[in-house]
Amino acid sequence: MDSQLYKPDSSAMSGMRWSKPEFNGTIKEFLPLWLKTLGLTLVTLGIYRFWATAEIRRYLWSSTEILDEPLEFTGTGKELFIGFLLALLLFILPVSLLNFGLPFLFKSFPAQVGGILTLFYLYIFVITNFAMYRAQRYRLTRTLWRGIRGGMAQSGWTYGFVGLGMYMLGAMTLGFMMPYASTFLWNMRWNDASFGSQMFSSDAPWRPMFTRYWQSILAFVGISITASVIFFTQIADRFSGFEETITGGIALAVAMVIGFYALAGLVFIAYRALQLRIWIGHLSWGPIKFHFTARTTDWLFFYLKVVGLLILTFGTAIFGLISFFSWRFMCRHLDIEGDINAAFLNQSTTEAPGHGEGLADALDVGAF
Amino acid sequence: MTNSDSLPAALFDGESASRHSVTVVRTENALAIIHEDGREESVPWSMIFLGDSKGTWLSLKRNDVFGWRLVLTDPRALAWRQDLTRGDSLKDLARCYGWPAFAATSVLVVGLISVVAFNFMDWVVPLIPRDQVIAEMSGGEMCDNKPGLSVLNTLAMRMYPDLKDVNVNVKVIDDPTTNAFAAPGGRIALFRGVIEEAKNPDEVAGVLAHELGHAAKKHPERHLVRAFGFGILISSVGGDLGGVADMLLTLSNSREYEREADQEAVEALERIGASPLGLATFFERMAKTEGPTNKGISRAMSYLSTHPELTDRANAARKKFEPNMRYKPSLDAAAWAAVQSMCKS
Repeated sequence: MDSQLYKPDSSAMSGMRWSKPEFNGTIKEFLPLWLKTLGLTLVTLGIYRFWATAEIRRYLWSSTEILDEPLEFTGTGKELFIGFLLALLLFILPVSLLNFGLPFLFKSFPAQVGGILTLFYLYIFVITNFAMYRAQRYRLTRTLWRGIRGGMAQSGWTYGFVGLGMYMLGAMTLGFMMPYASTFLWNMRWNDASFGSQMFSSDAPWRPMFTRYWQSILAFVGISITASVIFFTQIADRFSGFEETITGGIALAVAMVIGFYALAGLVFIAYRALQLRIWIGHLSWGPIKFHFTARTTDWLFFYLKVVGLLILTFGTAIFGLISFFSWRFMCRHLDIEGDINAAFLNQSTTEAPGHGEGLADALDVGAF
Repeated sequence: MTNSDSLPAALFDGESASRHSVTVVRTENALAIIHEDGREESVPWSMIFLGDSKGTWLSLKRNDVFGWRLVLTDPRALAWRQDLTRGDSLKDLARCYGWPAFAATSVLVVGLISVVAFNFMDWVVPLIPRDQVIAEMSGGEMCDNKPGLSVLNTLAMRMYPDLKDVNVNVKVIDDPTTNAFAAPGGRIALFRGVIEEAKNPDEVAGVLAHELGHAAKKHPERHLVRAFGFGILISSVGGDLGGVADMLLTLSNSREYEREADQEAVEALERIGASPLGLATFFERMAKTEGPTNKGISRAMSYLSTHPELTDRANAARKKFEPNMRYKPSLDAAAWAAVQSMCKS
């Protein structure tokens, strides 16, 4: 089966075919769609968000051609909404209950409270990883290309527990093994993934990103210490006459918080950029190999653009406008090596979920 | 459009990824599809729905075969968009029941949800066992002395007659901390430390009036709504950036809330003819016990903390004090004695 998928004419003479996801969406087309979904989202106090997401994805998918044929997003707002309700049940409800019940637990079961809390945090970790797996599964099963959809081999619970183990390993080694842990999970997730009758395969190594991981952490710690020393010795005194101007104080708070996040983001962009190049660079799908070309400076310019958009739109760009630019960014930096013989690619036989990725949404973990 | 129009199209059958070149002919009740090998099939329009469409192409799907897609690029076919529905979207629902009914239902649903969202805490809070919560939150013992409690609760009612329907309940926690808080549902807790630290009844009245000010403005309920509702919403929408926004909102809200509660307190003290000086002197003493810190840092950081600087608040209260006014003590000697002794068992 594998060998049949290779395009017979693509080997010797002209060499392998190289292509990119051809994104033909334009901001001119997208802007009216975005304004419409934004308006409805605001008017409905956010409830329309799920339908907005589906609509925006439908546009992005249908504007993207892979190996000459467009993608289609077949998910619906209803599914995403049901997924959100499920997340409410599995995640938000237990968290709220624990918040309310904690004082009671401390009073009535002081000895068991530690155990209960530990169990609860373990549950949160399992469910977070589970959600990530499910989000990928949802997007794969709801992506149609040449009439064929994708899928994941398992339900995600195993992945949830393995993920818990991996993060525990990372925590126990004080972060030392985090590149190993996250790469193991990436490989596990993509080795379970398939499109049509063809599985993906991923054998990304973790060692090449290890040095940069530690450089990033050391740089972050170093810069944080320097910045706080400068702040407390040089800058803080200048605010002593500020008591009458609240705006001054708020501006300072905003500057500090944003500065901290920007710093953390900047330092880890270099690591994240290398990680994605390695991860995607070791991903293949039958005869097709993927390559990701975005370097640290590309990400830097991309993030600057996102920040600019957020400022220009007073933050409303979060509701979908950023999706457009990040989708375009991903398409522009993804290289596809090889071609398939479509006649030998059959429909997926994996199980398809009936609901959306609400959990991943609520827990704020992306699929990719 | 005439029935004899035959258009080129690409067919994906949903079984394999192969692209089949076909010719389609539109008839009254069905779409005829002629394959390259001459085979012909007819699909009734009732089974055909609109898939994706962009400027130069549109795709049709069947409701009975997963993945079946017919892609048309002929300009004549692009007009079919008007005659077909997606089969799964809200728009179809609207088309089915008519736009006015759909709009009315939407408004109703959104209205209902917002009513639930805004009143959620008011409905839930009464369900929580009232007196337990405060004791359990503090983890400590309560000063259950009846005369002392009744003095404080009467004082609360005198200062805030409008709060009758809220069921205000003042408790004293047997703990040396100099602090007090307002919990949802009009429950106020003073720590023993406040009573011990106070030099006169006006200071206790000031602190009590401040916490009741929070209750009057429903600040605890709003905090809860924020913590459970908005925080979740915002973080699910915006990730880290949402978190930053949320923190800033909480900060500015808290500072705003403290100022509001101080204002309410001054007005409440006025209502019973008591002096706002107690509030000021209490804050001033608290500021002193907080200890001498680097002035610059403490000022700058106070904008980041949830409590604005005590001296600023003390000054604000002091400004309301009028030297020519004849103030009444907020508690008489016997009542004050009852409060002072309420934690000594």
